[in-house]
Amino acid sequence: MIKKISYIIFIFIFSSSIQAQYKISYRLGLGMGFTKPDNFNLSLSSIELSKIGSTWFPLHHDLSINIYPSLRIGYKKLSTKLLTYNRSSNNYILPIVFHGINIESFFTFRNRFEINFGLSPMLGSAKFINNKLTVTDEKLGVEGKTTAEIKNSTLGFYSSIGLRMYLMSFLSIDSSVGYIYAKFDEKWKSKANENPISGSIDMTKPFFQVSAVIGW
Amino acid sequence: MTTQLVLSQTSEILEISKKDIFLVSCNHPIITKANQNGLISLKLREIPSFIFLDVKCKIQAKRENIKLEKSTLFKEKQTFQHNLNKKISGPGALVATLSSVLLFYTYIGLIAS
Repeated sequence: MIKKISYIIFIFIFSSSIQAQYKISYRLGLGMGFTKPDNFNLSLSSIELSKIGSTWFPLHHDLSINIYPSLRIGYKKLSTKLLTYNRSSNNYILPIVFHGINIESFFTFRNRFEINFGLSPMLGSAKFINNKLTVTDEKLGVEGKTTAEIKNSTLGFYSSIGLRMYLMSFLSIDSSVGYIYAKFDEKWKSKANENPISGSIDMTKPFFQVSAVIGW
Repeated sequence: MTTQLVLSQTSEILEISKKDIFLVSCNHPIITKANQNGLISLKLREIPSFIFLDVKCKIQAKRENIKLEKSTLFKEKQTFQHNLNKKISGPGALVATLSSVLLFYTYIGLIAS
């Protein structure tokens, strides 16, 4: 649903006649957040898997465009799908992804600085996967790779206040302090009807990020 | 025709041909538009062409040993954007207020607990 809405907003933005005032920017950085995976860890312990940590370091990126002086809107994604996922034992990993619309207002001061305020309704998804499994067909003697996964999703909200410093007209660095409001409930879905994992992961915690921004 | 006159005519022709080569990218309509009305006037689809032509213009100028005036386009744009966004108004003010209030009460609650 959020994907569809953000798609419609983007089509509207790019086809509208506000181009004289646009400023498009792409932000890429690293975030640090906290989780409370106690219930989920209890489930892991019951099937003899090691606990996952209570910190997550998502790679963060967003693409936004000015639609009004001092207001930009865009698509934002926080993801631990690549490299920074939390690990359990036996090659099990927990990638968490949040993505959604980012609305940000800002004001500039002292030539090179900007303070920004962000609000982002987001859709979150978490997967507990083992993608290093192999299966063997004994008759033909063929070996292939397969994946075991259970997944969970939630709606979340992210709010932030940040400081941006313009190094050049097209390059700046940005850091922000925020808070994520989201919780993965105990209903983990898998292709099989039942699975032994049922714990919730509470993501409602402070969130910090540092990023580089290129813009026009 | 004296030898001196022939030489001066040849150098003039060389100058003209230099300028002709140079004009191809540096005097492209998109570059001219940016120079006249600022980078803000460029449309979204013109930006990649502008970046390409701007780089090409500098390379050609270097090849032809022509010194270009230092462009202030980017600085002008930055100053324009900076001045435009000095104050938050309208929907921007609403977002800033919502975000600040939400974070303030969340962190106060966090500290208190």
